[in-house]
Amino acid sequence: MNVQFRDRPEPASSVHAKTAIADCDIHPARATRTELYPYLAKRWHEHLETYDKHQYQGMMEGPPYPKAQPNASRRDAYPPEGGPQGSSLSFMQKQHLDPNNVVLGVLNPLATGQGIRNHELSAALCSAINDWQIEKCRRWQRGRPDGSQRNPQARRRQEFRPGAATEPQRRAARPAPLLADL
Amino acid sequence: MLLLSRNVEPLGQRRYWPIYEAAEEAGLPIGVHAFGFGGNPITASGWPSYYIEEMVGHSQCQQTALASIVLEGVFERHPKLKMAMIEAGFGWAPSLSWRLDKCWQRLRSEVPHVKRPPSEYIRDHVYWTTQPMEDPERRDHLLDVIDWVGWDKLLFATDYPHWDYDDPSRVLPAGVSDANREAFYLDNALKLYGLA
Repeated sequence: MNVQFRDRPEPASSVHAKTAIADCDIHPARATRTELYPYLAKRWHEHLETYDKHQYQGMMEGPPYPKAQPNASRRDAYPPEGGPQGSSLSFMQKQHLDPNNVVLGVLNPLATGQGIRNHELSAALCSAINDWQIEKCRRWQRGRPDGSQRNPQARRRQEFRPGAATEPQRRAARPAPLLADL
Repeated sequence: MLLLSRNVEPLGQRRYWPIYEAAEEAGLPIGVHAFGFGGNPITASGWPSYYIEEMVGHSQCQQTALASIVLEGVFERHPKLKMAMIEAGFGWAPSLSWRLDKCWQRLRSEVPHVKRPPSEYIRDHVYWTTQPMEDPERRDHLLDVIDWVGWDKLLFATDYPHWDYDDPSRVLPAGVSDANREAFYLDNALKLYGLA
């Protein structure tokens, strides 16, 4: 059930000799609870510090069943620098993206703004998650540890919630969609 | 654009229509991913006992979502809209489509806005991520299903970092043509996400 990660030698630039693939369901995670703050208006920082979002309510919110694994994730996917599985792009690259030559990834962050009853907070978090992904992809695009260059374009994933009908238009209006070359 | 499969109401209903309109206008495909919290039990008979039932149940929840989307006319109204069903499998796609078609043939007067057989909408608009890949004892059964779904409609996915991650080197049986293999692993995704 858990794939054990074997330490392999660093891939050479010929890593791309392996067939290039797309991975259409990757789940990036946030390393800390404040990682979204740069993408949220200050009003929401204070709101989250004071009220937070609801954590769990009966059968309606929160995981209804135990997950079999911590964070429903591979135990070998904890980044060495700390944080939950999926929160370190460099470790994701080393463990999954480079060995499997993933040239296109579709990022589907979970546990975001979806399902929050405060609709304004929900919309703000969903939009912040979009900005966070774009920024994280951009930082990552500035180069791999081995010095090779990534494709300068990256693709954003979008989330939507009723009440935030302008988000797709806002994203579509920006110049040149970004496309993740992982 | 990411939606989840368990919602307050089935995904084809009116409260969600602005989303589909916005997605089609922006040229963005919609992903319907397993899970979600709609305030409803996860089955039609209430809450099952085990996590394994939740995991198996994602296909049921996705079928509800897809049937609703088709029968509320979402694809009829939005001919350019594309959707990806994510993490709910695809082995059930043929049987759901056959059942939808059969019911539509007899009951189509209830839904005059559904102008074509449901299976045609599904074939034209819907993509399927491959994780978790069904794994029948006879691999030719899997290939039969893929023949129906279409090699041009599958999107390889691993679900990294989740525990039920699919290893790309192990998912496909032997005997798949190079063209189908390339479509499965990359080309379909490049086309769907406008990067081909």
